[in-house]
Amino acid sequence: MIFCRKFSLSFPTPAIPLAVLAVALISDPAWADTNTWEPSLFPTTEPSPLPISDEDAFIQPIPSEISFHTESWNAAPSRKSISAVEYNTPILIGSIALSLFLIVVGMIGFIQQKRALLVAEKRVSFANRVSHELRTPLTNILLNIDLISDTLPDEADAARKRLDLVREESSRLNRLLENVLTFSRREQGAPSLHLTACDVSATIDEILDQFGPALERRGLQANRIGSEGPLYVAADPDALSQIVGNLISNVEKYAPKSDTFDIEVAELPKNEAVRITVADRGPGISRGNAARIFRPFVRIHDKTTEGVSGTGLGLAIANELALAMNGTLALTPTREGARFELTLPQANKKRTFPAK
Amino acid sequence: MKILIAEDDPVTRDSLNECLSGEGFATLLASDGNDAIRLWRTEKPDLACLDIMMPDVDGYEVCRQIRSRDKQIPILFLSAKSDEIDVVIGLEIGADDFIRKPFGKHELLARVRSALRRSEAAKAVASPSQSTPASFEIRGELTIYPTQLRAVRNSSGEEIDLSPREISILRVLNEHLGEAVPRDELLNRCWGLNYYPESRTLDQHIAKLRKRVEPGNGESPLIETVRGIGYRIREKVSD
Repeated sequence: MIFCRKFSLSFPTPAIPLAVLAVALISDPAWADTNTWEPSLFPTTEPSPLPISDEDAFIQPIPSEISFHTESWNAAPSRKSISAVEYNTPILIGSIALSLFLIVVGMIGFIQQKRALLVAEKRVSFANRVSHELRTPLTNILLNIDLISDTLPDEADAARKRLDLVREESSRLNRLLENVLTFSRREQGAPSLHLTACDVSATIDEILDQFGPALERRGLQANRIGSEGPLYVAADPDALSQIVGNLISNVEKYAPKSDTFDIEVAELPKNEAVRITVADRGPGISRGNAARIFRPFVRIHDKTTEGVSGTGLGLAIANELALAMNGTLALTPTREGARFELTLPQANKKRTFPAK
Repeated sequence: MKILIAEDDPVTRDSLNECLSGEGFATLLASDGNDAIRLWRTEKPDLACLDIMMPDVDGYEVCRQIRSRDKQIPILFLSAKSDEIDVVIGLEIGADDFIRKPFGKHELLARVRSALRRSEAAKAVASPSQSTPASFEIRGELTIYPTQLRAVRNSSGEEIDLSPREISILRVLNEHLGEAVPRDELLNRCWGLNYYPESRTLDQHIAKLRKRVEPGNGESPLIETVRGIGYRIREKVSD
């Protein structure tokens, strides 16, 4: 797919000047014929009048009488060949110059395009490489936290709590990394997803578990509404976790302290779909910004919220992944806070589905 | 059980070594692919953990070379490369599992254990003469399968994962059934004479082991602390 895109971009540019050159060369004999008329029109005063421009060459050869025409055909063959050379040269030079000019312009365009493509590719592979590089220190941090925790004396609860914090922050860092990687993969082509039957409730439990300490620190409590039992959707398990994680991460960032937020799971039997709603009572998103939030690198509360960090990729990626799994992610208007609805096709357990 | 670790990042290599040797596995450390192949030839490890991106000879090549001579040894890739295609290549050329970085100690140990267990099961199928794996029983309550790194609770059939270190502790205590085994003897036999673990190491291992093997329903505990001496497993109290 990448190859095709590259090919279609680069193909026409060098082709244009080449086509012009080919046309110029093929049409040359016609020019030669027209020009042989000239000397008979203005016999001897100016032996070889050079046409000032291409237009002159067009205007001059029009014969006033038909006899001139026949005369020209009866003229000495040696003169004809000489004049052909004399009059062809400037036109040939002109057309070659024009072709060369077009080739050069084409080449410059082509090189620039190629360079731009290369830069874009480099940027993507750079993001890829950096994310990969970052995983090694992250592994080292995680392994060593585990090693320290294991050797800590039982009574060192405070230290263990700190270590849990470090572990939690590491997993946050990993989430950010995954987002950057997913994004750069998207730039390279479609993300590869494998749809299987995923239990929505279990996924939500898992993500809430991961966020547990962070939510607790901000005094936030999840209010689960609707089905607690298993409810299956056709989704890629990693992508589903990423979407739910990104939504809850936003709640953790923007919801007011010591509050509750809602996570609702509802079956939509009519559409054979499952809807997951995540709603908080934070500052929300204004109507004007609602259209922008799913675009990459857009952060609405950039200035207003202190101590809130992010790449502006979370919602863009969540939206992209939801669409790729034949679902939707939408911001629905509410009186207060932000309310996101993720809808995914329902699945029977243990069935596989082709990804879009 | 010997585990080959091939990893070019020195900190990761040390951490992996610490994680695995702490659980009683013997480790062989290689910092690049050539080293890994050499160690595999000379030391014949029971399992190989390979990083993919290494200087000169990468993990894929090491895996290919090992697989061309040995179809049995479990090979795990530990890698920051986690695109689907990398995982597919890894499994295609004969790896048994692919652990994506970042990972924690518990994930690593669980995967190492399960890979070893699968290979033991495969060996048992290959040579049916030894189809009943070597095992020993403790007080008729627990059956320990050392090569499979697990124990089975006889009363309930519950399976318990154990590390090589934990198995060796149980073995030593079982050999001296009813007697208190001094701390020094446990340290010498389970950690080796050349190794001087911190004094707390043994207690921590026992604490972890207790969590796993004790029935925890108010019955008489399996492992008892004998103050000032060490630990013991008491003979079955017949009532």
